[in-house]
Amino acid sequence: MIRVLSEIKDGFNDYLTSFKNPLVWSYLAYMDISMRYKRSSLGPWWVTISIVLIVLVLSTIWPQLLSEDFDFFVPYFAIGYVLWFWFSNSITESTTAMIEFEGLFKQSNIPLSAYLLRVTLRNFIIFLHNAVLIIVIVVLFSKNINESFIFLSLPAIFLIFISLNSISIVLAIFSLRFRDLTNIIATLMQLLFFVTPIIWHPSILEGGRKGFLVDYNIFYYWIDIIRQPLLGLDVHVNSLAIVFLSTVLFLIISCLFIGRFKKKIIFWM
Amino acid sequence: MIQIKLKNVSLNFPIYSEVTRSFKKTLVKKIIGGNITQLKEHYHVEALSKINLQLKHGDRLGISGPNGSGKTTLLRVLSGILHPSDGEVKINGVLVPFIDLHYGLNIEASGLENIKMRCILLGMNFKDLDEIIEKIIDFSELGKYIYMPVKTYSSGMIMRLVFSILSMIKSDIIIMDEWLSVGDSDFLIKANKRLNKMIDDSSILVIASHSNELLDNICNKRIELVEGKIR
Repeated sequence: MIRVLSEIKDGFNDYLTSFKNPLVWSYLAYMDISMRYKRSSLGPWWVTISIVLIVLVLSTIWPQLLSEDFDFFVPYFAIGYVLWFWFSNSITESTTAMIEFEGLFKQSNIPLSAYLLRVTLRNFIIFLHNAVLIIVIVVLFSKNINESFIFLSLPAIFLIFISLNSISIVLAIFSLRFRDLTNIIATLMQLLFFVTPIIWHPSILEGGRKGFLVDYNIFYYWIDIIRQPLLGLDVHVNSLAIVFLSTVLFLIISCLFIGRFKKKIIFWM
Repeated sequence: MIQIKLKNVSLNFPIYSEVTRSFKKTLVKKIIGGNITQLKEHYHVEALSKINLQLKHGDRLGISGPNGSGKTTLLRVLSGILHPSDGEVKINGVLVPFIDLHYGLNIEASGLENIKMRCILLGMNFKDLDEIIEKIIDFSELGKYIYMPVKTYSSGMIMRLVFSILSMIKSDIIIMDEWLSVGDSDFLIKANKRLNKMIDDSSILVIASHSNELLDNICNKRIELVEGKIR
């Protein structure tokens, strides 16, 4: 127990060092994005274009298939899909992150959390590009945005960022040790896309079977807390509490992982 | 006070077999029960064994030893990149390692961007960077190549770039793996001059080399590593 506590403390100090010098990881994330702009002048906007395409095509078929209202489905799906894209890319990229940064890791002694903050931040910047689609959709289908967007969704975005980073740290360490985890996680994220309420509404499931798809699905709460206010609807009552508590939990687990494996992972490269 | 202190430092490299690197196979093994495969989990290479070392201001330590004797591993431990499996490491002072210089470069990015990145990684802010960046570019003599992606550089040019960056950092402790051979003869003279000045200014130098002549020239302390032990 004492060992676990001291490992958590080590991990916490690692975070602290990262946040004392945020320039390191934010500059590296900025460089990653600017590299994308260099490779093609549209840079991350290509991703946005592909998302727009998917939303356009699916919006013509899906509402009929599910007999949903077009005006409801399009913003519902578009917002959910942009958010999902952020979560899923951030998580899958973390499984290859430490392999990508191997050279850097063997050269410098910046904290471990800084490497993953770089990955989380660059994915967040890409999300901000895609968020333009959300704005366009909200304007086009202008419903009244619920005021809870300001005091629920915005803090939630920050909490989700921290959560994503914590999950990334755990997965990055795991997938360095077990090299086949990259594929397993990618498959898992694909599966989660279909079982999370993004292209379907939870109301189509009857009470009993919702269980693990909705109630125990953290991605559902992450999407819900941002999507509902944008659709002018109320957020699930416990959303903020769940998002907050899970963030704390993820953070502690990631601290433990950093503390326990920080010194070992160089041997796994 | 600037110092390096190693107490009973040992380091084991774990070598993993392919089976233990697979999550699926590890899981299956856990479920079915360990003995289904007779493969050994992993074995260790003992790279360093019970190293004791104490360096203070003015020390110039030369490390010699055959290939695979643990020279570079010891330097990596001293740089804080590798952590010992046993024992204590205490390092006080700003440290610049000249080991595997080309590691950590972004070859897609230009030389200039790499300078910025490396400087920020070394803990500078934009203000420090502004002061130093022109000097680095001048010293590297890379001319307009500095705006080209590093992947277009020759290995000599890459060395110039990294050396120019590292040599601008004020450091108390310098760790070197072999004396540098950077670029062509003109640049080499300049680089050697710079390096000698850096070493003069520094408080502690640790250098590993195969050349006894070199070590005799610049070092006032010597150790020889054989199979991870100091002899």
